[in-house]
Amino acid sequence: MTPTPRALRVLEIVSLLLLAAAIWMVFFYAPLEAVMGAVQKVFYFHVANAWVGMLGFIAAGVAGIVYLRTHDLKWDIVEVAAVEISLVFFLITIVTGSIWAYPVWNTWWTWDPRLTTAAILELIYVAYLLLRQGIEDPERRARFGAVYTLIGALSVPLTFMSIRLFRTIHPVVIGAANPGAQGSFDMTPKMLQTMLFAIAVFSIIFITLFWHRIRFGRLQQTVEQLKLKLSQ
Amino acid sequence: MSLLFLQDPPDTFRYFYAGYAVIFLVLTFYVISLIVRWNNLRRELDALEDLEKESK
Repeated sequence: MTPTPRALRVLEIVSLLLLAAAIWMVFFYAPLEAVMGAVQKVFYFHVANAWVGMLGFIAAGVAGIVYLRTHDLKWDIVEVAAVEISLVFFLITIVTGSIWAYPVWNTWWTWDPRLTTAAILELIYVAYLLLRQGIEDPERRARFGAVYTLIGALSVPLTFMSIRLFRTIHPVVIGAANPGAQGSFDMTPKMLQTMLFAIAVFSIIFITLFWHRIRFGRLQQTVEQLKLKLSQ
Repeated sequence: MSLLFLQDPPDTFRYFYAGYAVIFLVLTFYVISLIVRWNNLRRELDALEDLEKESK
């Protein structure tokens, strides 16, 4: 396995510095929201994590399509890397959303369309990782994974659009307002800047982790091939 | 008169801190898990390569 590329090392440092800047913006730059108070600030990283989580699930679906066309196992590695990292970011989205909901909605969880579709999305990909482990043959595992992520990716637009399609209490911050929402607020320019910056920062963190996870997948593949060779 | 209706924002700081604590704990846990798994796999690869050399 080749040593860590210099570009990846640079990306790690840039990610950490940008994360520190994003934290500073959340704590000191973005104003305190008048109705919800400090808990509203959870929103900046909540949205950023949701963005990269959904992006990763879509990326996994695209990698699945490319695998089905090329039958090159490297796309299976890309696919599983995207899913694993997205699961982490999406878990953060769900938990931070729940923490925000308690003081605002007076409940940690409600079976609202957005929360329900988000929970289903997370569970779809948890099942993906569990089911993959049960398949020994790498080719069969990759084919299964490609079809699964392709179908699973359909639930991403459904989750994203759920607050626009269904009656829900989840706020719609970008685009059309939701009259039934509880916890909506008007974003000031400083709030908008903080949110966009957090989205950009988490996109870079995603790329850094994705690169690392792909390298890990390649190492896994090398070990698997060597094991197979020695067993023959 | 309107000043009578002005209120301070509610004190929701503990939820704010809890939210950010979760974000950093989960991310740190994932990064550590990736490092641990990488090191384990690296050791396994070294052992397999030694085995391959011996078998030749």
